[in-house]
Amino acid sequence: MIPVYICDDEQVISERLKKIISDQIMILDGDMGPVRVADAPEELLELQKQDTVPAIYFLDIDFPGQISGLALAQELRRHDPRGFIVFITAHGDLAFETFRLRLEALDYIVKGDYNAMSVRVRDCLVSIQERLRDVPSGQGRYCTLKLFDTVRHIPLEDILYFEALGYKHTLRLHMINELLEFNSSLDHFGEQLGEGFWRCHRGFLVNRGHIRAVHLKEQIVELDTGEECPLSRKAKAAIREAK
Amino acid sequence: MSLGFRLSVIIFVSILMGLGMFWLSVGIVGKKVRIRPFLVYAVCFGASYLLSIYISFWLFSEETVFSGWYNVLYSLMCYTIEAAALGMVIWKCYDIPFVQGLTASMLSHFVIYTADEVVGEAAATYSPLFDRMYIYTFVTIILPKLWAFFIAFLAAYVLRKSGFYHYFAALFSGRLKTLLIMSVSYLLMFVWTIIDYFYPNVEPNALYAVFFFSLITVVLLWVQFMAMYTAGQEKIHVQEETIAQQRAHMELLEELQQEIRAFRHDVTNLFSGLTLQAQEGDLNGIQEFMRKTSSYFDEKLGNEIKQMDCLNNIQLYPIRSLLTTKLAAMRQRHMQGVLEVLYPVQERQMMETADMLRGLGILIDNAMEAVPEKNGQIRLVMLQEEKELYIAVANNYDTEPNLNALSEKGYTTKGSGHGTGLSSYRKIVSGYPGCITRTYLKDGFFVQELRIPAV
Repeated sequence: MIPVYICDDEQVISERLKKIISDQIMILDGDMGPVRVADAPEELLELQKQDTVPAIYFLDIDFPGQISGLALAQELRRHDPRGFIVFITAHGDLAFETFRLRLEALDYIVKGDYNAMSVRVRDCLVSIQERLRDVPSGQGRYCTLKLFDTVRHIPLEDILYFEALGYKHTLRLHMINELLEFNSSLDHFGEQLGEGFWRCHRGFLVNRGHIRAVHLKEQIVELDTGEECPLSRKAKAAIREAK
Repeated sequence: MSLGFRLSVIIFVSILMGLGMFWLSVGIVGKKVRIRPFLVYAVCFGASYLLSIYISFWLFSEETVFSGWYNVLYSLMCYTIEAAALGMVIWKCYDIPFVQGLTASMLSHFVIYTADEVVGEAAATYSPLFDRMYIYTFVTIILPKLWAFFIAFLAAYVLRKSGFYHYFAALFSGRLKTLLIMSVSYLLMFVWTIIDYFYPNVEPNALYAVFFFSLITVVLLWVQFMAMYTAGQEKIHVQEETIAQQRAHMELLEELQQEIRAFRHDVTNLFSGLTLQAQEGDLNGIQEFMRKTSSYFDEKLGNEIKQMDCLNNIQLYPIRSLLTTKLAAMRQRHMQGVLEVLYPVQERQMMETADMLRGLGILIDNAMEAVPEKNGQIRLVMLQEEKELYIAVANNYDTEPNLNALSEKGYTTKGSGHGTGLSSYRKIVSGYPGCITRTYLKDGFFVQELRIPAV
């Protein structure tokens, strides 16, 4: 079961939302619940620690006199990097791009008409269900990255290979549909990831699961995406020996 | 002479010349002389000096070594290697581009060898023939080298004081300019080799000395003038750009003012109608009116005002004017541009504003090139946080970009001539090792993220 949280300082809204969400979960027969309501951000942070992650959060954008919805969401992300965040807002003029890109927020719901809110909540829950189906939780292993003060968990099957860039300990991580450049060393990931990854070259660490073929003669490792990594003489010799 | 004496003279001379070259080159690029890079260079220099001498005597007979053509060949190879080594050291230890380091070392090579050669020749010609070789060596070899070093030291001092390095980098702004300055420096480096080859027995006199010292001065002045001229051109160009950006900002303000005027006109009309309805006691009519007009203001002016608020949050003025210009360009080309800057962005980034400006400009230009003809959408987000500045540029697209080809040089979906921007973007960001870049596809958008640590 995936816990659902609602945090809004207006009780009318949070009660109404609770009813809508519970109804929709029942209709969709989703593996979600229980639905809990927190009146203040601090309360929500407490609640979050008592149950499992990932979870679904419906958050108000601004709490007067307290931490902002953005800060709250960032705090929640620290414990639950893969959770689903949906914002509730009184008007349509919120800075949603910031939330979507920075916090990978899912969507936002405009307070108001009951029926309009139901439709929006339903869309959100359907989308969450789909995403959960695509990535079965707890099965795959993750690679943990610390980027400034945020933590990312990347499913190992999404990783193609790590590439060391010539200058100053920069790594380029090639993923399916994503490139990430940051400061780290290949040795660090070589240790963290263990057997599933292969150092085919001084500057490359490849996910064994994505290798299509190793061409000894051309000294190339071919991946299932068609990309190629170089194969060092040392790694080649190791393969020859293993044979 | 004993072998020990010869060796120590050679070592002393190579250290002195090496130090002179190093000192002057570092002066040209405007950095402080540091011990470690010098030691690295001195070892390279000394070793190559000794090795090359011994190898040439070992490989060839004495006659070959002292013949003219051999000397030319030998210098050509040796000097090039020397200059390249110094260029490398400056590149690695001072983070100056290799071409600049190389040019600096070639120029200093010219200055030092000229000074040394002129005085050395004069000494060899005019000094009395001492019957003891030690004094002769001192007068004809050590003294000129000391003099050359003194000249290098003086030139470096003057160049550093006059802030020459500000202009020096401008000489390398174009491919043609780089080529010109490098080939001139390369030729200068071999001036002596060429002269020795064609006129081996020139009698050094006062005229001769004057000619060569004025040559040094003229060359230094020429380089300085060239550099200042190019730097001036660059400055004018930058100022023109700033003016254009500010004009765009003004136009946005004027547009907003026009709309406010129209809005005021509307509101006056609407309210006179409303007053009439209120006098007649038409409650339903009033409710209908309220329903229609409550979102009117937001629709009319909300977006512009929001955009202005976001722009005003950016306290880095060059970046603000860049975004203003780009947003105006997007409006003109009927793309939907959204900018979100929730909190003030201050000047406490690790990245130089000029580099941020270039980087962001490239990302936005790429996004504007990539959006589909109809319904192009671009989203710009800047978020100042405690430890970092988060920047994201997102755009929708016609053809899904191939991310892995993207990491290669010059990738583009638009045919040749495009796609050079991304590699320069990479180059800029790689100068700041703490930065994180991320490129990904999500929900039909291509997103480029840049996270810059705060100071």
